[in-house]
Amino acid sequence: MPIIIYAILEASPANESISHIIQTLSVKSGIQFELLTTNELIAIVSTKTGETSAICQEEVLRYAAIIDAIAKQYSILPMRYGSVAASHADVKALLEKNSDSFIKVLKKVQNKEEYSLRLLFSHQHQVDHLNDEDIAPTQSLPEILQGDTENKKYLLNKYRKHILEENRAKYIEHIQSMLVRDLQKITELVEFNKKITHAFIVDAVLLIDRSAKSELLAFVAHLQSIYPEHNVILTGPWAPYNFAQIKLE
Amino acid sequence: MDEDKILFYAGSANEIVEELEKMKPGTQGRINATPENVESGLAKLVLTLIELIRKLIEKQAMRRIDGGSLTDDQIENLGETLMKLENKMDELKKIFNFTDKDLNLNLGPLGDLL
Repeated sequence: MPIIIYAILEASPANESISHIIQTLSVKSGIQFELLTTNELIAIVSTKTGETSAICQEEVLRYAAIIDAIAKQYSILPMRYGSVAASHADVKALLEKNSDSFIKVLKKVQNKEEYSLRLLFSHQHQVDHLNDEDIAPTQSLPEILQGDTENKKYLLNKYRKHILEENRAKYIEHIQSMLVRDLQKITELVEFNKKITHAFIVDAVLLIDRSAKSELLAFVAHLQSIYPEHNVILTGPWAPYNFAQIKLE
Repeated sequence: MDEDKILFYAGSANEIVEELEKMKPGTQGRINATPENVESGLAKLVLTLIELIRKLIEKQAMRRIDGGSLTDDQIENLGETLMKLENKMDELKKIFNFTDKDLNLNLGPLGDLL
């Protein structure tokens, strides 16, 4: 039977109580969890029973909820949905082969939690600034583009859009560097997601000490007060999905 | 997302939900070629790449304008070329029934191609 892996954590005295938590989780979820241990690591797993069911959102959310419940109390490496091994022996081999990498990342995420910070242009702001006529008035348009020919009018229009895009990129860059600088008091572990829609100014994930949550909340409230025209969203705490990237051997 | 995971938000909840929905991995940015629609799938891929090159040419042109080294004749030529390129792309999009949104590829963590 395939083995589903949920999370990996250090086999340290601080994690001795994990078996008790796992028992409670088993009762709550109806899933029979097991702990597979090596000298240095523990993997939280369950045996996949019954027929293979199609992936559904409910199942993915249940998997994530289990990881979330464990991450609330322990520093873990959360696995992605679909992390499956053929047998218990395979899981142990995985832990042993990658022990150094796992421990290195576990040290990095020790007593830390992940948060997602997003800053968005409001719809109104986008409407206002997508108007082609609304070029930054301080920027002069090149003299050579002035003229009545169709070609010049076309290029002038393109140039206006180009300036808008450049200004937008500079603005985003400015806010991101300001965020990195100001967040340094709380954490240096900040990553920006590039996969963003046109409305996004910032889509960042940060890893902070569990004890720094109130500082982060205060920072976010301050950020919103500096940029009242934008929408700020903070979510979390999450298991450190974005800070636990490992190339498995 | 659990409501207890939202620690702070300001602005319209509808706007935020709308933007987050756009981020969900969908099928729009995929080349969906099947035996039945292989021509359309291939056309989408080719036109996406042409559109990428066209936009790069446009960017390069803007940089040259910024550089201030172009003569009046060169500006006229550049405008005409870019306009014709754009018109030709519009024609091709119409032939294959594609919109601007169709011509994009999702490159995962690298974001969208266009």
